[in-house]
Amino acid sequence: MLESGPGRVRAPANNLRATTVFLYVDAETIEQARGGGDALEALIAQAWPDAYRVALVILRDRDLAQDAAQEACIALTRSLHRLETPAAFAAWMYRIAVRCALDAARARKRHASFEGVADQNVVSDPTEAIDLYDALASLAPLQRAVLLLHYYAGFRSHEIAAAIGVLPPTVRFHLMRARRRLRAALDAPARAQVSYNEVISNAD
Amino acid sequence: MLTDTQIAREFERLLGAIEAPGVPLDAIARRARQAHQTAANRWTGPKRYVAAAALGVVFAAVALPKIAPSLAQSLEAQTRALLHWTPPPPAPQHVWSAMRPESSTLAAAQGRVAFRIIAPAGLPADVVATSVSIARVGAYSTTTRSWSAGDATVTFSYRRADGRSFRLMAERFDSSAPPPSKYIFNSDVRDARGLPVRYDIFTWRNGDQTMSAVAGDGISSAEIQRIAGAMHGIPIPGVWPPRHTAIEKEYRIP
Repeated sequence: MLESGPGRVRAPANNLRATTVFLYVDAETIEQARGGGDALEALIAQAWPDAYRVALVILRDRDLAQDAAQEACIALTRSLHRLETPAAFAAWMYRIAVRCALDAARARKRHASFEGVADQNVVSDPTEAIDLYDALASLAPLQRAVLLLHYYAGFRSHEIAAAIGVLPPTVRFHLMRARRRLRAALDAPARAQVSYNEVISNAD
Repeated sequence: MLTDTQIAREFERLLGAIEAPGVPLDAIARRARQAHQTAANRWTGPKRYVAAAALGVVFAAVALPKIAPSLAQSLEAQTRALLHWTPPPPAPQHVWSAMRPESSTLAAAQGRVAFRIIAPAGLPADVVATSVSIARVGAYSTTTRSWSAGDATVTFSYRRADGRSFRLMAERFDSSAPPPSKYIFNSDVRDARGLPVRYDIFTWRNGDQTMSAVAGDGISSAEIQRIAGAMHGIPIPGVWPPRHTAIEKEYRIP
């Protein structure tokens, strides 16, 4: 069952291999956008939110994320003519967004370390999804990118490797380590909750 | 323990909960124009990787050591290894000025070059605008370590219906010159490792004219080969690593 929204199609999360959530743009829209003008602006408007979200999760800094998302949109305008399969637009756009975010992360590392001043209040509803955002803080930008491409965009390891310019075994290694650290970080509050409940239960 | 499905769902929730700001279309358009302009000014061709590589290496060698010495040394070494070449110093102002491209016509250009110009044929069907410019090449002698302004070259610039553009460059065939480089590097476009991205160069000969084109955003390898074929040009295979000569050439692109 699919849940449709403006410009997006949302697939059930248990269907991990079939691109869990993807930016949906039909072939006609892409063909029109290749001609530039309003159609291209409309396509950028559709791609922008996910480009920003992907960049923010990797960079954890709103200004840098905006900058990286803008770079991704510029790359879109420059390279759209090279997109041979319109159906692959979502994967192509995620790849660009992740690359731009990683470029920004590398530039940040070269020029100064802002890792310590990452945004915390990035989600519209802080009660939702904040655990994962916090848990991702313990990972390097590259590991966040690998996890994002795997779990959010549904990429396989060789596709992630092509997207971020490393070898597939390196991706699998990062994925294994990142998954382990993420699980540890996400499970910690759950364990704490269990202990608390056990204490209450014992007290009863 | 969280399953993969649960983690995927958490990612979906996280990204779904992030509120994106409005689309900054003006900023994107402005930056796209700037990026296009910068890339257009810095393109280099066969042996024209001089300018592009120089920027990359100069950046690595001069700017970075102040902030990250080990990273700069590593990047510089990787860039040098990638290019198989060490860039010459920047051309002095008087040589750089002499290399400035000037708009021209085919007839006027013919009067200023020492070879017979064969105009391109077999162009992509969607070419909507053409211009011709002429510029002198910068020549750096690796023996005397000095710059001078060399022969004139002719550049044909084309714009396509979708806004893309590409160039074809014609110059005099020099039988004593080594084979052209097979690749060009653009320091404005970096790969995931931070190194300049490589593009293919195609070179062919018609009489005493050598024409070359770089495959990239504006034109594909197949389209360039169609042009060379339509002109009945004799392909000049590129080599890699590039052969080093006593004269390094640098081209100022319109």
